[in-house]
Formats: sequence, C-alpha cells, structure tokens
Amino acid sequence: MQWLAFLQQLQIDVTARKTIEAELRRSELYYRSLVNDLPAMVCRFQPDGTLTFVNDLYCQTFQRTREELIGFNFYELIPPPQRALVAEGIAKLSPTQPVMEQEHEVLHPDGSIGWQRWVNRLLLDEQGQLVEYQALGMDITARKRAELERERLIAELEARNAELEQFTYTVSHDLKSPLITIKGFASYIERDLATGKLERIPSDLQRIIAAADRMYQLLEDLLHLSRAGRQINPPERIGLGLLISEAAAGVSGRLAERNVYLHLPPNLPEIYGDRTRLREVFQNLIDNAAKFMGDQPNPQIWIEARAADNPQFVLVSVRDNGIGIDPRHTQRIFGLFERLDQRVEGTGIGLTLVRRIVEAHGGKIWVESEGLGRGSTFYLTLPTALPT
Amino acid sequence: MKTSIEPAIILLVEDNPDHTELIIRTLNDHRIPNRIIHVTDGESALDYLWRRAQFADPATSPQPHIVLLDLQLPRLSGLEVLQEIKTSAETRHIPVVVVTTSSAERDLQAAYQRYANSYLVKPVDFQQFTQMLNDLGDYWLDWNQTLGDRYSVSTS
Repeated sequence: MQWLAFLQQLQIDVTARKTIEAELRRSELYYRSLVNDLPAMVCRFQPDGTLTFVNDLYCQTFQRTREELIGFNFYELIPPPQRALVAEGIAKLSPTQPVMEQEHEVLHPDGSIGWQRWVNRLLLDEQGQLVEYQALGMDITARKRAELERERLIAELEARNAELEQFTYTVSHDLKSPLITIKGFASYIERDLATGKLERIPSDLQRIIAAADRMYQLLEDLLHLSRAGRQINPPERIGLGLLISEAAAGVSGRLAERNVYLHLPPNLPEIYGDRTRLREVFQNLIDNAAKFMGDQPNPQIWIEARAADNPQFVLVSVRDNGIGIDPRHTQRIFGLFERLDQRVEGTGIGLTLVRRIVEAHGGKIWVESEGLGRGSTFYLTLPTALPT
Repeated sequence: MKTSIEPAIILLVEDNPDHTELIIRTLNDHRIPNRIIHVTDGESALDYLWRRAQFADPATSPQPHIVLLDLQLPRLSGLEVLQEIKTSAETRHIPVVVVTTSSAERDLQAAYQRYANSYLVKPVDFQQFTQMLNDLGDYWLDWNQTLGDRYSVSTS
C-alpha cells in the first residue's frame, strides 16, 4: 500500500516535470521567435560591453555575423566621443532603477554616423546579483536627421530675419539721411532764388551733389553685400599664403602709402571656398588694418594660422599695431554702415561684408583689442581643404 | 520795469554736417532768440554738460535749456549720452529731445526707457522738417517752463 502510493506519487511528479519542461521549451521558443522577429535590435552584454547575445536585426544593422559579434565589445560600434556618455548611462542602472533609455550616435558599416535609441535593462539573479545587461534598440537616424535639419533651418531663418530687420533699419536711416539733405538744400535754393540771395547757392548745391553721391555709394555697397551673401563661384582648394599675397597686392597702394610691413609666414595651410570672395575678406582686413594705423611710426601687420577647435576649420589671425578698438565697440564695428571714426573715409561696409562672406563659408569672425592705442587682432575661422 | 529775454541755449548733438546746417538755419529764423552750441559726437556732448576740457568755463559754456540729440553718433551713441544725462542729478532736469532719422520701434523704446522727454523723427519733406523745428521751438523754448528761468526781471 505504501509502495503503491509512492509509485503513484512518482508518476505524478514525472508527469508534472514533463509538463513543466514542455512549457519551458514552448516559452523559450516564444521568446526566441519574438526576439528574432521584433523590428528592434536586441542584445545582452557584460558590464565591460562584451556582447553575449544579439538578434538578427542587430546583425543586419551592423552587417556582421552572430559569431563575429558574440564576444565583441559594442562600444567599438559607437563613435569615440559618445562612448563615455553611453557608459555613464549604463553605470547608473541599479536594482532600484533597473531600466533606462538613451539616444546616441553609432558607426554604420558604410562609415556614416547613425542614431539609435536604446532601452537598457539590468538583469539580476534571485540573489539580486548582476547577471548581465539586456538592451532593446531602434534606429532613429531619419528622425534625428530631420530634427537636426529643422533646428538648422530655424536657426538660419532667425539669422535671416535678424539680418533683414537690421537691413531695413539701416536703409531707413542711412538712405533717408542724404534725402533730407537733398530736399532741404534744394528748398533753400528755391527760396534764395526767389529772393535773389545768391551767395550760398553754390555751397548748397555742393551739399546736394555730395549727398547724392553718398546715396549712390550706399546703394552700390548694399548691392555688393547682397551678392556676397550667396557664394557665387564653386568652392575650390586655395593656398592661404597665395590668397593673402594676392589680397595684399590688391591694396598695395594703401600699404605703400602708410609704409606698412606685412608679416606673412611660410607654410600657411590650404583652405576651401570661393577664391574671389575670400580674397576680398583678406583685402578688407589688411586695408582696414592699414587704414587705422593712426600715428604709429612703425606700422606692421602679422598674419598667422593654427588649428581651430573644430578640426574642419583653420583659425586665421590678422594682428596689427594700429589704433586699436575700444572693447565696448568690438561687436558694433561689424554692423552695416557703422563707422567709429567719421574722419576716416568709407561707408562702413567693409567689415559687414567680411563677416557675411566668412559666415557664408560656415566660419566665424571676431575682434580682440586691449583697447585704444594697443592694436587689434581679427580672428576668423575658415574651412580647411578636404583631404584628397 | 522791463522784462528782457536772454536767448535760449540749445545744445545740438548731431554728427551730420548737412542736417546740422538745416537745423541751425531753421532755428535761427525762429521768433524766440536762441543760441545753438553744436557738438558732433557723444563724448563732446558729455564734456560740455559736465564742463570738462575746452568747456570748463561756465561763462562761455552755459548749461543748456534743452538738448537736441541725434541717436546715431560716433564714439558714444546717442542712447548712451541720454542715459548719462538722465542718471545724473545735475543734468536730469534738462529736457532732452531726440531728433533722429530712425523711426524703429526699438530706438523709440530704448529712448523712452532712458527717459527721453520727446522723440522726433526728421521728416524727409522739407516743409515738414521746418514745421517740426518751428513747433519744437514754440513748445520747448516758449510754452514749456524750464528750471533756471531765462526770463530775468530787471529794474531800470
């Protein structure tokens, strides 16, 4: 009786175990098929990033076989500058916060950079010990590119709007001003002719002619500026040294007149852009430096180039020992028709034009000066020539 | 007893020589006698008001009854000059009339935020230009009562 009961019990246990095993197998099958059919990448990895499992889509995305990927460190699929960020996110996972989402860049097999969004999960055993990490990822490159493009377009639109506003402002002031002069003195001439007072008519006429000339010059400058914003010539590789020599030759008259010595080092790098426009940039900067030498007995201009923070750009500096700039005005001098010294010739278009051309090339320009009488240095970033 | 009128002292801060000439010609024709002191940049305007440098002598550089201030000035801008005038206890009572070509909202706002007393846009039309300056003279040199009254009463 006891034996029978025992055997019966054994029978039940074996049946139950078989059922459990079958269920386990079924569950494993469900899990495997689910993981492989998911329109998402799935992987598991150890704390150092070594992959222990990848699904089909993961293999397809990085165009490597499962054998290649298991044992491989996934951090190598992430661009180096982003690795620390990803590691930091994963290190934050803890039993109290076992899940975390992250977006980061990845290196595609064709060398391009893509974007992925990952949900990382800490896998713990029953004792609460770390087993490994499991992660579910989606490709979000298209969305990310659209976002970046949208941000770029918004920024560009805002810049254009600000420029247009500045343009309207300037036109309303600078072009209205000579008109007031012309109408005013023409009315005085009319009045003086009627009363026979002829003495001041010639000088009033001179004022009218000069105002009309000035208006013409302003209009010409505005047209020139509006053309400069759009790069007309296709970009090319340009030796910076040669370009600056050409620019200096273009203003040789001014350099000779003020006896300015231009220091141009050998081995300047190559840059990439519109040759005519960039020559104009250096022509304006050199001419400007020569124009604002004041009573400097030994006027000099130094040109230098070094790597910019952004590896795709070179930082060029144009330094002089001229009159310098009041630090309060270092922004103002780039404004349209801004002139700090009315006694020096010009409409005040030069630096506006320079900034426009540099920005059209994706670069930046700014000026530093320790103050009046202490010279000034213009810094500009320009695209370096692409490696051939 | 008779009342004599001292000429009104106007400090004109204007860098455009043609506009300066037009303003001076028009105000010289005004029925209220006036004397115009002209400076061409912001720093000179402050030098005059603070009686610095060549403007140190109060006999030759009397305090103006009114300042006509252009906004686009070299060195120190008109707005900076305005700010200086209106933050100093010694000068803030002097009426400052902005006379500019700019009708931009941001200039209007900036000028009134710095306590400009009036803001006038130079008309392109010359009839309106002279009309505006004549009205300006009527209002600020005649109707408006300023401190340090020009009307002195003397007995003879």
